[in-house]
Amino acid sequence: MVTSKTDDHYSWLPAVLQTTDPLFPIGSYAHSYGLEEMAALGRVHDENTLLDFIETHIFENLKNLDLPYLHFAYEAIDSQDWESLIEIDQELDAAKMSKEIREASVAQGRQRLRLMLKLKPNPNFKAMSRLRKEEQIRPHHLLVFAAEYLANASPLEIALATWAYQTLAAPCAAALKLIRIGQEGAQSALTQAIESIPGLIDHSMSVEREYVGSFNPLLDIACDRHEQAFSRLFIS
Amino acid sequence: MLLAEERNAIRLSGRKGVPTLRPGDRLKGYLRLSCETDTLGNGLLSRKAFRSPIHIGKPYRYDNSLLLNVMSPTAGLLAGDSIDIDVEVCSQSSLILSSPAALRIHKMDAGSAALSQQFHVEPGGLLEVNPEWLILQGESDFSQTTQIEVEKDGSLFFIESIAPGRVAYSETFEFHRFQNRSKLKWDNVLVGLERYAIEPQKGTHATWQKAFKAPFYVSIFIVANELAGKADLEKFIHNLNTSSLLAGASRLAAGPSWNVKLLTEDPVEARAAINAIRTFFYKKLGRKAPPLRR
Repeated sequence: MVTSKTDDHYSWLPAVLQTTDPLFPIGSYAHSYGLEEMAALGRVHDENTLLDFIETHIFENLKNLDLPYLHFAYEAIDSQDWESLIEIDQELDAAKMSKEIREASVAQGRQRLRLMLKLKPNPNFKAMSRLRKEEQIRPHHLLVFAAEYLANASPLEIALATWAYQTLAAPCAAALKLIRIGQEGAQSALTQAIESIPGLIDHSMSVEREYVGSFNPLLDIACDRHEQAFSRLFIS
Repeated sequence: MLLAEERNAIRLSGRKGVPTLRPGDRLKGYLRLSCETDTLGNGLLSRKAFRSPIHIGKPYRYDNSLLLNVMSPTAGLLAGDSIDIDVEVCSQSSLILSSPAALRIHKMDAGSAALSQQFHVEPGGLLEVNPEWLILQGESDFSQTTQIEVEKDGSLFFIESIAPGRVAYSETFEFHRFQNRSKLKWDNVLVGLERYAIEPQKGTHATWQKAFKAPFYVSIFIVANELAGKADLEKFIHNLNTSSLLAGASRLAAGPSWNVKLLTEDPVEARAAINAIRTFFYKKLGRKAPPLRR
């Protein structure tokens, strides 16, 4: 049962601001999450096609895969259900079938866990570190993200909204280096995209545990092609 | 086992002593197979049972492999029909399941059709599942569940090829719903997981449709020790890309396992790409790709 933690005068907000700031070093700036190859294919080349890419491919992964798993990971950690958390980590490993995307998620998860153990030691982080040493979890990024938001006493809705925002902002930031688009164009696409966050969260909360999963064949192929690309600006 | 024609004949004749199917009766078919090797090293089917709408032909033997053509005498599935498939490939055995015709999911006023399939490959065993297109026809509703378990040192070449409708008749993405749940385990580790539901009327086909106007989709799970090491498979698949064929391959989370994806407007080009990948796979295994006799 997820309990509301909104009656504490937003004590969680400074921590959220700290870890969503680009200054927080988890290395997301080095990833385009498939956008680089979509640009190389000529399918994303301006503000309109960037927004279309986000609304088609990123929305699908958010509402049917990442946000539902974040929801269930948050609940599992909140109830100290480590078996469920291990299962979610294994499913994420199997569902992210493109190696670059899978390894990007793991690299950021490990970096985030390392940082949180140093900055804000907490029994949940220690438990996750132990599970990692025992090779029971890798862990994927959103597991550590969920643990961090629980440690900050942030409500689930805030964790979901923040994850969604960062997921939508990442391709907009990468687009500045990949296509002919300026800061205003990227912000315009992001402004339109984030208007859909409440709807994406509502949808994700309706996804049942055994149905979590997305279908994104074009983006998967783009990520696979990126793995073999002759030259690359981003890791993924 | 009842063929569609037999079912109609029984329905019309109402012969005494012959079970009479009534309108609304649905087919609950199955296929159960175990492939083993005899003392001479020849493949044999030690378990073989099936029921309409599944029918199998006589197996053919190529070297140590058995080729079995699986057919649907009703030429597809109707509302309420279901098929349960359970296939086991024992150690050192090799089985190829092929189908000479597409599996059509027909128009349904209500209800849905379902396919549940389980495959198990023991160490040293090889399973190839190479069906023709699954065609999601207009106003159809289809649910598919697949579980594949490959033990360490087992090999797999598992194709799923899906047409978005009767494209030749300009019918594309007019099905009601397609639900797909696939799991691949290697050495008891979950390495591949796909779970999705596509309902074109709700716009949930967009990530598929964006590739081309009428994209044919192919997903291949490959497991083989012989492909481990260098990224040969990934490079081979990468070189298949053309302006009308998008192809990608990536190694899965554990073991010598990969997922290959293809999207193309041209089913002939897709079939040529599948054949090229199949030839590459068997060459790496040190074998010649057996003919499918379609």
